[in-house]
Amino acid sequence: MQRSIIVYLLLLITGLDLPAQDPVTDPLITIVTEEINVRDLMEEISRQSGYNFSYDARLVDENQVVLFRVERMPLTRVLEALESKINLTWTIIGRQIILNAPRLTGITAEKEAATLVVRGYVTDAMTGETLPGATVSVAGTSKGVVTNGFGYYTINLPSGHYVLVFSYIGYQELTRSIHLQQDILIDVALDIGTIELPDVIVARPASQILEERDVETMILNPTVLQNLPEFGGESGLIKGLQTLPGIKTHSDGSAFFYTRGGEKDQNLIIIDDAPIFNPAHLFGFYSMVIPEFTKEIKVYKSDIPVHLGDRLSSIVSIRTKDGNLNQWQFSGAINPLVNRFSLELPVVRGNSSIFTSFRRSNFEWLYRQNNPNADLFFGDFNFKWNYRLGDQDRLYFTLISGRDALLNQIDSSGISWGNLASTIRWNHVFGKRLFSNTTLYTGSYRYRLGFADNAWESAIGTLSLKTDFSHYISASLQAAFGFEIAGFGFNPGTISTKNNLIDLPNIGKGSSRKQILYYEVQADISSRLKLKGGVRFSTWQNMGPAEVFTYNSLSEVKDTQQFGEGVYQAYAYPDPRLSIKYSINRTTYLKLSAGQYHQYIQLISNSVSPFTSFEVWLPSSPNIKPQRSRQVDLSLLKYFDKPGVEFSLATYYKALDNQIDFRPHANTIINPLLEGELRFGVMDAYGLELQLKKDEGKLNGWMNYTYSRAWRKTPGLNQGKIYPAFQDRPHDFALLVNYRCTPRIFFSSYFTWYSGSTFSSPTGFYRYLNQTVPVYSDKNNDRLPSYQRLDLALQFTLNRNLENRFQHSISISFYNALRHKNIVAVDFNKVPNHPDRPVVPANFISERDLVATQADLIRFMPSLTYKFKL
Amino acid sequence: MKIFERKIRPFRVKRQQAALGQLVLILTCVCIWSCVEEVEWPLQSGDNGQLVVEGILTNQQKIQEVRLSQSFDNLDSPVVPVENALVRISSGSETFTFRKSILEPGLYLSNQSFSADKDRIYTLSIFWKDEIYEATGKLSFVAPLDRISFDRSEGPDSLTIRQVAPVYHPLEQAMYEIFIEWPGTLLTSHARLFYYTFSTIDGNEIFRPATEEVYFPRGSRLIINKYGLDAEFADYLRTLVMETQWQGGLFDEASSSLESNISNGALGYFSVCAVISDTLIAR
Repeated sequence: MQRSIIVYLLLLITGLDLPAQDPVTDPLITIVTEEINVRDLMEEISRQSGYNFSYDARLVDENQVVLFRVERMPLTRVLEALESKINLTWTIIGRQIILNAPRLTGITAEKEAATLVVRGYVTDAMTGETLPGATVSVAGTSKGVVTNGFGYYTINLPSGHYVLVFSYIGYQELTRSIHLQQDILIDVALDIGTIELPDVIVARPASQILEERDVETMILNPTVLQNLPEFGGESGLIKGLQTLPGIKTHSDGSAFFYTRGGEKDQNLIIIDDAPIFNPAHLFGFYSMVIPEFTKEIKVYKSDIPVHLGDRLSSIVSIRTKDGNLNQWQFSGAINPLVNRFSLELPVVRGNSSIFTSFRRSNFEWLYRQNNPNADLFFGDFNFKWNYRLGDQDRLYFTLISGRDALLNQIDSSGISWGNLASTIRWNHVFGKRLFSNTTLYTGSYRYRLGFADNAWESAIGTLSLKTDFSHYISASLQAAFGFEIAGFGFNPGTISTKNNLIDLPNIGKGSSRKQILYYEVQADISSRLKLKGGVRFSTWQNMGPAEVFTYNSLSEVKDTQQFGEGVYQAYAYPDPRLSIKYSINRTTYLKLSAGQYHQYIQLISNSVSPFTSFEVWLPSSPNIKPQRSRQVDLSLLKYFDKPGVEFSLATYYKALDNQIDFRPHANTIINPLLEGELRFGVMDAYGLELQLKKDEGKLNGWMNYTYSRAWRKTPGLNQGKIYPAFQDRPHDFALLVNYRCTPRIFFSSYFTWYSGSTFSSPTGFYRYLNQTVPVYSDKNNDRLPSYQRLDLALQFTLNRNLENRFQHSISISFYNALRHKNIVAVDFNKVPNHPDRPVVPANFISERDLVATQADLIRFMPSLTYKFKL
Repeated sequence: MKIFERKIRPFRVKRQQAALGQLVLILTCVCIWSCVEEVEWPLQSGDNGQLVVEGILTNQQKIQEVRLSQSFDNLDSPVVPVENALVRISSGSETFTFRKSILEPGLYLSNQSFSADKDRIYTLSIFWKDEIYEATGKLSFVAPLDRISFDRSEGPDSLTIRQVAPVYHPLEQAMYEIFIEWPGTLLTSHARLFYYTFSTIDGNEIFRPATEEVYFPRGSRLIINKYGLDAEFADYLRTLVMETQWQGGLFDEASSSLESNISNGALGYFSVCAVISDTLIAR
């Protein structure tokens, strides 16, 4: 493993330097004249480099004579030298060097006082898709803004002449010269990067602009996600999240993930604001989110914006594509295990479009011969409609549904689960500076375990209305405020039956409602210091009629309370958040943030299995206090001179209260006294995350290392002593390398190594009824072997002409290419069963020694996928 | 104030095991890449040598048995019997003393035949290494036996047990101990199997790990003992199988030691069970 890491480190480090030595992308220039006029100088640079200058003649004094002497200097360095001579900024687009307006020195606070507003949407020129996270900067200044989640921006400037630079990863930079005398609306459309298929990041915002994104907010580009090595034909959201620092998945075949030491239910995945309660397909081997449907994936681990929340560890916010406004587009991917298809269709060209995608498993051939009555499948259907009502209003409708089934066709027994999420959204711009986003969304999750005559079902659902406002008060002051009203319904697991004689344990269903008010202000205190502060005030109310059990200190029922209709119990908490961002220099940022978070719903599962199973969600109640987290985070972000290269460091500490654990061997299914099975404690988590990232050029990727710990202490468990959480994995290393070998060949690899999860191993045994029973001492006293995996992928574009409308490619992936045994469980209850694998003994009369066994899931998984787009 | 009462009325679940068996087959397909193999796993040392009590007092008139041993370090360690303990069971004014078995170390036999009676509390007392260990129990209820069904296959040992009892029953909890004697070899049991009915359902119960199949020839004699379980002993046995027979399935739960009802830190369990027995010839 160490050798693998070293090889990869060398590959990345040498790779990072490759572009600098590439005479094609950064040719070497030699100019040894002592004095030269600017016109001749530019001609000479053009001759030697092959790049042409483009500029507004009014900005450049071509007859200006300058002293200029460079020897074998890269073009970019030469242009920097030129910039210092003629006081013009420059941008390279394709083979063009564009000279921009002279730098405006020091836009002061006084000037900002009388500002005009430039606003608009940034979209994709080909599809009309809005681009969230695009950068709008003023050339020659440190001013810049980032478009919001709907591609909208507002920038405040004094009157004058400016060159605005619009940029977005994967798109060609666009500059627009403006003479600002009144508020103006500028919608711009960016052209996609020159290399289109398979997608690859070809450019990033110019290095000289102010980086607006939050240091801790991680953006998982859907392009990167689609290019990741696949498992069974899909790369998957969860596997993509796993590549980010601070996020750990449970193990192979799992959709559970842990963020900064938090529990698996402390992460919230929202798609266009609607929650997805279980993103897993096929127990976790696949993720519910279809990469082609996503436009932006943002991961908040700390300093979570006040308009999001109610989970302690992370919010994964996914914005879906709107659909091509200009022309229809059909794409798909065909694999022996899973097929998916997408259709984008303009309804009203330029104003309205739909995006729909469909995915279904097709692995019946794997099991049908041996199990003709089995029916095992999963599927997704996604739909998005958007309508542009005018410059001020846009409407969106999103529907996401997913279903899994594992059924016996004869009697319909088996298990099935499904998610349904839907959003209706209205964007409206009030005047020049107030942007609103009103959303009505619903999300539900249902799980069913069925037998011939009866079935066990659990469910959770929510319906919510929220409005978010973004107020661009001035160039240095922004505010965000809004409200949310949500209702929740819970079914913690009831049995239905066809037999009228059966009377079953009565499991009460419940309903709750949540109200949120929030306000946040972000102020530029100085050119170097930004301050953001806000509060999210939440209330949680449980609604009757309800029957509530109360428990004594031994978790035994001591009373039963009956409540009528209406609110019978409530919680209310203000969650303050504060962050300070300081620019050490133009390429280095330091951010300190602190915040408090509350969580009102929790997943009740004592399973250590990687697979999703028997999900029961419970609300906070008289017996379950809301979970709380207080987190402080210190982050550093450093951009290097080489475009697209950045280094980030983050360290954090979290203190979590009311953390749920379970009594030993808790009974969580069909148990009216489920709350009595819970134990409550505290958790401390802390860590250090390092990331070196290069997201530009032929060779890109990132390298992460995380050191983190998570400790729990729960009265009544582990003799009251502290113990490591399951997700306590001190070391975590990941390396993602993408390399475009040629315009038609793209290579991607992902390597990860991390400490194994904790588990309880026996410290002794005894014999009872001829069975060997383990004895345990400290909880989670042992650790599984470290996890190690290398995934490889090669995408080959079948088109010779990359400009063709019809594009198709094949992708070959190898999951766990090193065939490393990644252990998910170690057990002590089996006997050898040569030549087959060990089994649990059933005959207890024979004295056979038990052996320890280990289980791993996926040693090697090749995948071949054909993709097309037309 | 209303004290909680669990509402349960008669309920039978038919053939759930068969349906679930089909699911397990399918799930095996899902996990075609999974592999279970033997491994040398170093264990941390524990505080072993603790007293282990295995005592099931029954309502059958017989020489009652209590088995005492000590906990041990490793899976392949031999069981260390406890041979110098004083054992007795008392109920009210009655006391039944136990003596060491000559044939089997660690086994203690009552000096006289007796049976457990309804509504009486029985106290087990063990004096060992200057310590006293005690536990109490009360006779449980047992319902009639269900009909056992078999599956047939090819070969000389062609039968296997398909179903003994429902795995879930909200009213009744029971343990089934089945001794199987091959035909022509009377007095020698070839197999001892355990089955359970619990009023709870667990994930690792439904999706169990691969378990050995015990086949036997037609004409084999099956001696079936059905033990009625009270809630506490049922919970002990449920956790026992979660740590033994059900461990290693798809939906394992976090492991933990079993909760004993023996005082003073001893392991194991003392229970008083109503038992019904039957013998049948497998056809």
